[in-house]
Amino acid sequence: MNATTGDAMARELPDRQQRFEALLHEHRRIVFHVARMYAGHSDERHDLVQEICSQLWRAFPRYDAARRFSTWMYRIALNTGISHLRQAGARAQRFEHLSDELLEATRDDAAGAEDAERLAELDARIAQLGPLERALILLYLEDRPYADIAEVLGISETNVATKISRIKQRFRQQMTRADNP
Amino acid sequence: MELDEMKLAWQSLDQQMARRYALDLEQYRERKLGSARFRLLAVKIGLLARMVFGVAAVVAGASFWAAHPGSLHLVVSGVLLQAYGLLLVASAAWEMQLLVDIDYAAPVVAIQRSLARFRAWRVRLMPVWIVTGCFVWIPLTIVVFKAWLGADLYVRAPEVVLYLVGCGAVAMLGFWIAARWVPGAAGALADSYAGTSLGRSQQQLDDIARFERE
Repeated sequence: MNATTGDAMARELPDRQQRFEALLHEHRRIVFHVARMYAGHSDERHDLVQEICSQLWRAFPRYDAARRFSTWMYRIALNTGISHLRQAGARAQRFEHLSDELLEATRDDAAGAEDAERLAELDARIAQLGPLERALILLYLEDRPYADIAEVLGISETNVATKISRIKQRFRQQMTRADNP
Repeated sequence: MELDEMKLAWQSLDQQMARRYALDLEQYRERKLGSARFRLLAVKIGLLARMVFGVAAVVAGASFWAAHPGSLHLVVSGVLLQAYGLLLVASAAWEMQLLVDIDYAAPVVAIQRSLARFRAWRVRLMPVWIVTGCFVWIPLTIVVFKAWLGADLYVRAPEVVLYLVGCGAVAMLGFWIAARWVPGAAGALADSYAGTSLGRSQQQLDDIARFERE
């Protein structure tokens, strides 16, 4: 069942709470991904998942069913994630702890070591990004079209393209510097 | 790692994330839908209480100075209490409006700009609360003594008024010394009140403006 079919079925449910739960289940990955992007370690991620769900439920009465649920959900989840990161900023929590996924990947075989290295690099890259850049990159990593990214963030498509290109360039320069110290 | 390699690594996390956080959604369904409503209600009740207290101060202050037009210190006490009440009502009404208006479903950049402005406003207002918090007790005590006990504290026991002024001045001096000389104290104070310092809130606004520019 694809998301659109799932959304249509969820919207047919008579009770608001049931409709919300069905839509949340259909798009649950958005919540997980935003929590992964904005919270530094396991306990915080679990809390952030709960906080995002609370904000979604709070905003649900104002959700306009004529608009795409995923766009609405991304906006709320990202705004909640950014607020979380700003509050946690003073506590300097960013990826200081090994992530659960990284620990899981640290197995005693070559594939495990490779996974662990890749995830460590991913976390290091994410940690370099500011709150709004993280939102942009999250949507890019999820393969969202530039038009969708622009709609969620409230900036122009050209601006989205420019920023992604600059981030790519920045990462390339860092790699070049690391290779040629 | 380039951005496209990041994409592969991110997508490989998908299953792990789904497995790891699925339980959170279950717990949320079971317990939290009601508490989300309750938390918002608690914030609104707090703001309403501030408004009610502010209105009471406005009414008490205004009726007090109107009832004692011939005595300058009583008029000043009533006016100060009224002004403090107006400040409470205005700030609570403004925050309530913001609470109602901020729609997290609006575009991310717009909401983050509104929140950053709100934080900056609260940080700028903080010195006003410190000063009023240190001195509002003086007109309040004079009004209460005169209105309830019929005693003009300023005339009958001026040393008590002086003592209150002294306490307020010492408290304010303490805040000033802590903010000026104790490392991190000003930031901690701003953090506890507004969730950020003035410098950081300005930095956030600058970051957002930079992000909006192409």
